[in-house]
Order: sequence, then structure tokens, then C-alpha cells
Amino acid sequence: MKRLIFSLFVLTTISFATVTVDGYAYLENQSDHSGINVIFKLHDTGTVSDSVTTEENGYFTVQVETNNYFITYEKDGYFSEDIKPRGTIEFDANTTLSSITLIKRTKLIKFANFIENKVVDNYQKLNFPQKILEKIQLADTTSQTSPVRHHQSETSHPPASEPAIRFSKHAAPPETTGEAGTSDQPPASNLATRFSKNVASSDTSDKSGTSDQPPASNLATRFSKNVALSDTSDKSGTSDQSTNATSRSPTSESVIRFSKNVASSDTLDKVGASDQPPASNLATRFSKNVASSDTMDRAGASDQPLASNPATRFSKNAVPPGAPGKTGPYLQQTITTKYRSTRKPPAKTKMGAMTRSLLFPGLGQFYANQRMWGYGWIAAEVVAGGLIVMNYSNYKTAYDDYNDYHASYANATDPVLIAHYKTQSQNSHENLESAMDDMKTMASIAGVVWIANAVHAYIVGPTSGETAYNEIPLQLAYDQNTDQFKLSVSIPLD
Amino acid sequence: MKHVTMFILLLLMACEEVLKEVPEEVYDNPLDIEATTEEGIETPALMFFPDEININTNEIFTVSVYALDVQNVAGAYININYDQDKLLLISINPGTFFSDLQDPLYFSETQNSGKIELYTVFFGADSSSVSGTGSFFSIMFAASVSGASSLTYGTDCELVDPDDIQIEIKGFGEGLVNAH
Repeated sequence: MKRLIFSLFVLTTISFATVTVDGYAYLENQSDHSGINVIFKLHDTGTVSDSVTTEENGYFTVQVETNNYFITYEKDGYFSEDIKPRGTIEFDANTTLSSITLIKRTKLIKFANFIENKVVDNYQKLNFPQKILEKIQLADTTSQTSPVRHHQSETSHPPASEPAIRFSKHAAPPETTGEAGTSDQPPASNLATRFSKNVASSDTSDKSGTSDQPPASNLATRFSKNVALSDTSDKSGTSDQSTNATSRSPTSESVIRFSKNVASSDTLDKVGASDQPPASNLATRFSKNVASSDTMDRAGASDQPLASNPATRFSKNAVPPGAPGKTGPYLQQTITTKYRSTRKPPAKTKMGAMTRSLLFPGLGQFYANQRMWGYGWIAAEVVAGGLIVMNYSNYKTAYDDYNDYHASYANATDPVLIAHYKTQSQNSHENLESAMDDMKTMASIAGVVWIANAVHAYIVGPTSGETAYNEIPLQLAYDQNTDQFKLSVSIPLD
Repeated sequence: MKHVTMFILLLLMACEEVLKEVPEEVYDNPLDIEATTEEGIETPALMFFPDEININTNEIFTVSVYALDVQNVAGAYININYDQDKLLLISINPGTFFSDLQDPLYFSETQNSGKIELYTVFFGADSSSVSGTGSFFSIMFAASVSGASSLTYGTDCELVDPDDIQIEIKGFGEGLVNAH
């Protein structure tokens, strides 16, 4: 009995034991990190169990019961972050969580909304890159001012030198980065982010040589952007470029292509000197590699390829002007859309569809990507054509019989044979007329089908200006099962 | 649009070409009683078969003299006119209408004046006359020159029964020769 009571006591104690969970949460590019809500939700029910708000230095601590939790960091004006590695975290002892840096909502939200509206909800095709890429105007480096953003106050605008991040960015705040050597802030990391951007600042790398910050990492990102900065010259003291505003802030060029990673040699060199591995891009289907032109300049003696892809049909090049960077590790860039097709395909027209359907039933529907209709019209015309052929065969048979019997009739001198051949000839002529009538009917039906097919092709024909390229290239859809975006690419070979 | 219009026109022309292949129903055998009646030739009649001949110059052709839908004929006198300037008489042969166990009696007079007079009498073994449609003679001509010419029956043709009673001939056919 004592053992039973003791066991119940132990179980009860364990079940209702509380542990202390603490950690740091930071606001991107802010010195005051207070106000971040750290919410603990029960894994089983999803209900909020505990929450705590960070202090000015980003520190938070909370007493929670031992349980499995989802932890959410959120603050207005910033992208919320979740910690749910493989589902749950079980707190059965005092735990210090890895630090989180919340990313400021930038103009990216427009694109996010666009994705939500156009892709995620509707699973609709997107006309990449003309439409999408035009919306991926990340930052205006010429004005050095942040673009107007919704969900964001003016005071929360990021500094001009903040790199324009489309999806999310893993970067330690400059203050944090600069003080990384002496602070105990964990590195900027983001797990399981849908869209992420890895910024491996060489400036950070220099300073992190004495810090314990691990490199910025990006796991399982479908859309990733690797930015290798080589702004080391600013602070490395090996050059006087700090007086040159244009060269102090690295000029960057970004090229979007289909899976190609280019690492800056300079960055790699410097990374080699530091403990940080280079920013890497793993298994990115659609990746954006940013290499510093400053790096390129200095890598002139190296064999590192430039971040450019002349063979890319749809590319996005960004070569921002040298922006005076107040914060070295941040990259100024402008991404503009450039359609590199050397041959603009002819625009599809309704008349083109109708013409094709007049030439051959269904061809216009195929031309207008109405394949089912195309097959349907072809089938209808084939059936009508088959009936025409069948009736024409009957017609030809009756015609031949008529000619034979009529010739026999004309040459006959015996009244009996004359009468016989005349009767046969008349019957053959009746068959001939019947077959001809049927053939006319079938021909009329086929003609009507043909014309209807042409008219239908005109109706469903492509709108003016639609080309083969902008209707096919990219399709983006959201898979709720895998919680990922999926991108499919098809390029017409003609 | 121009190509489309041309395509449609070609399609219609093709359809029209197919429709043109439907022959008209023409029954013009000179020995077809219904046909000759429709043409206004009543029976009994004397007809040429064929009634239209297209040949080349100097070619030889044969035309038969037919009695159409006659009853109890035992003898016949047939007078035929032809254009001697264009046609050359080659020969005259008896037909099959009066053929029996014994060949019919026949003779002809040709005076090179474009007129042929034919006489024939039936000698039947089991009957004294024949009825129906049959040929009395086969006449062989040659087209001496090109051009159209006609063969006609004289109005004094006679058909008689065994009792030498004249059978009214209600219709006379014509023959047309086109020599090229």
C-alpha cells in the first residue's frame, strides 16, 4: 500500500511538475526586443497553455508544466515563427530555447498575399515570370527608402541597407552581429521555414570568428536565396573603401535560374578563414544566388564564374547601384525582371484557332489548349466522315450497278431482257439516289460539325496577346499535406 | 481570311463535283415500248436499232430494221431512205424475226439513189406468222464522209398478216448517223 501511495505521489508529482523554459527572441534590426509574445500551445489540444513576453534584451522565462508544446513567437509587424521540429517539444526539465529573430514584414507580404490568393487558394496557374517576377520587386535601391508596406508602420521600416527579402531572411541584427563576440545571443536560425533566405555575411563571419555563432542555415527550403556577401573590405582594414560609398556597399547581382549555385570565391576564401561555413543552398529547385560584384571584382584573378546565366530564358538580374551601407552585412539589391527570350512567339488569336479548325476539326481547340473539345470535335468529324464514306461506298456501288444495267438495257434487243435490265437499272438508280441523299445528309452534318467546330474554336480561342510561353512556363501550387509549395516548369521546345 | 474563303470554295466545288456524278435516269432504248411510247411513237412500229450511231469516217456499222410490238406478221415491205452522199451501202442480211426451221424469203432493191426496198416473207413450220419485236434485216453501211445523216422509213412500208391483210404501222423510228 505504501508503495502504491508512493508511486501515485511520484506520478502526480511528475505529472504536475513545472519546469523553467527561457531563451531569447529578437526583433530584426532593432535594439529593443521587448514585446515579443512567446506562446506555448499544448501539443495535444492546441490550446494556449502559457505565454510570456520578452524583455528589452529579448530574454524571456516562463514556468510551464511538463508537457509537449508548440512554441510560437509573434509580434505585430513581424513574421511569426514557430518551433515545432518534427512536431513537439517535451519539456521535462529546465530548458533554454534557441534564440529566434523575428523578421520584419516587408513588401514581401504583398507577394505572400498574392501567393495566397492566386496560388494557395485557387491552385491556379501563374504566368511566370512576367507577372510574378514583376511582383517580386524586392527593394528600391535607387531611392534607398523602403517601399510602402502594409501591415507595417513607418517607424518599423527597415534600414535602407536591409536586404530585400522575399520570403524570410535569416540574419542576425547588426547590433547583435556586431556584438556577437561578446554577447550570448545564439545565431539567427530558422527551422522549417517555407521560404527562406540565407545571408552569410562575411562581415559577420569576420566578427564571428571570435563568437560562437553557427552559420546561418536554411533547412528544407524550396525557395531559397543564398547571399554571399563580401563586404569584408569595409571592416577588414585591408582597403580604404570605407571612404567610398559606392564601393563600401557591395554591388550585388542576383540571378534566378533553375538550380544553380554560385559561391563567391572571395566569400569562400573568407569563410575559410572563419568558422562559418558558406551559405549553402540545398536542393533548391528554384534558387536565387547572389554574388557580390565586389566579390567579383576582387575575384578577377580567380576562376569563379560570375553569377550570370546567359542561357536562362527567364532570369532575374539585380545589379543595384552601390548603396552606402550603414550596416555592412546587409545587402542592397534590386531585382528586376528581364525577359530574355530571343524570339517572341507569335501571339495566339481567335482567328488562328478558327483557321486551324477550318483546316482540320479540333485543331483550333488544341491550339487553344482545349484538348477535350479538340478530341470531341475530331471524334464527331470522324464519325460523320465514316458515315459519309460508308454512304459514298453505297453510292459508288449503286452507280456502278446502274451503269452496268443501263448499258445492258441500252444494248438489249429482247423485250424481256430490256424490261429486266430496265428494272434493274431503275432499282440501281434508286439505290444511287438513296445513297446520294444519305451522303448529302452526312456531308451536311459533317459540314455543320465542321463549321460549328470552327465557330467553337473561335469562341474558345485564346485571347489576343496570349503566347505559348506565358501560358505554360511555371505553375506554383501549395500542397497542404507536405506544407510546401511546389513548382513545376515546362518549357515549350518549339 | 483569304485562305479560309478559298478553302471553303474548294470544299463546295468538291461537293458539287461529287453531286454531278449522279447520272440522270435515261431509258431510250428504241425497242423499249414504254420509252418509245413516251417519245410519241406508238406501236406497232418500225424502228432502227441502234437509233443513234457515232462512228468515224470510213468505218462500217450495222443497223437493224426492227418491227416493234407487232402481231401476226407474215410478210413485210420496208422502204428505207438514206443519204447516199454520206453513207455507202455495204450489204443487207436477213434478220431473226422471221427465222425458223426454214430461212425466210427476202430480197432487196438498191438503186443507188439513197433508197432501199426490202421484201421478206415468213415461212414457219408450226405457225404462219410471228408476233412481238424482232429484226427483219441487218443493213451494213460505211460512212463515206463525215457529218450527220439519217435513216428513215418510207411511208409506204407495209406489214401483212398470213391472210395478206395489212397491219397498220403506227410509228416509224429514225436512225441518226454521226460520222466524224
